[in-house]
Amino acid sequence: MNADVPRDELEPRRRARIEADSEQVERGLVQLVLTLVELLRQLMERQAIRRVEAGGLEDDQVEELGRTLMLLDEKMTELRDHFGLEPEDLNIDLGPLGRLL
Amino acid sequence: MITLFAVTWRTDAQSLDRDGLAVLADGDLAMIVGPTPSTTSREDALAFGRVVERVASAVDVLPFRYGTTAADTEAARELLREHESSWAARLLQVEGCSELAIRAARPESDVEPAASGAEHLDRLVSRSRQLDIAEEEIGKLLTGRCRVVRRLAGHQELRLSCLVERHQVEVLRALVEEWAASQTELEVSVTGPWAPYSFVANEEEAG
Repeated sequence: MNADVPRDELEPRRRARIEADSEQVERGLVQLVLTLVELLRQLMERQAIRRVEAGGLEDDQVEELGRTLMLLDEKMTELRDHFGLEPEDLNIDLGPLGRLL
Repeated sequence: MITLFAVTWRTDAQSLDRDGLAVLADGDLAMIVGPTPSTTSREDALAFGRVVERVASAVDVLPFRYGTTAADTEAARELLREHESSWAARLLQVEGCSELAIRAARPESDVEPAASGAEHLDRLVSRSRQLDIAEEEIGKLLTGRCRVVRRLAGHQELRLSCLVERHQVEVLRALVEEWAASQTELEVSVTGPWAPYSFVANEEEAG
């Protein structure tokens, strides 16, 4: 693809690509991982809402389900705070598909 | 590298105040393009949005999302040729329209933590039902006043994008704001008019 480009012109571009800000890369990676965890958390919440609305759950099952979701919610808040992320940071723009969350 | 701002009709593009932009025409369509900034900052994104809104206030457009680029003008023209029929159909759909965005959600700040798992779950269910009711009530206000309404992805919130004829924008805003004033537990916002970002792709494509 770059066969016609002199080597001298390629070198600065390569350097520019590998001189990535390591903090930015780490933050980006954390953001991506937490976004996926948040997606799963939200799916669990929706599934739980559907199960409650469908009826048939015993009181202790409702308590257990609710407590699990509550703890997940708290953990996500802790992780976001730890990495200095806002709820709106945990989203990915999928272009024509819209936003992930 | 060039930034792609929007697609419009070739005939409409002729009347645009270009102000640093270039117009690439092919067939019935034209693409508004400009130089790509060397940085990607919040200011660049806002500047991009201002350009799109300026163009959209003058002519019908299909806006590109911020960050959409082509290698050069020939690559951009190729895109225009490749998508001519689908983009022309989409432009007809948004003709004379703007996008209004409606968001409804319960404020989070004043909510005390739930005392039990059951209470937490009960709140989630109640919020979900409340948003379903809001969607139904807003839907009645929008019926016959919007060309298309789409519910966008949103967690514990209702996000609607409405394709509205420009002369109906303020009418609709007033109706939704009047309804919002009667809501004691929901925060409702109506923003726009925007370029029709949510109506560039088919609903099937948009998911």
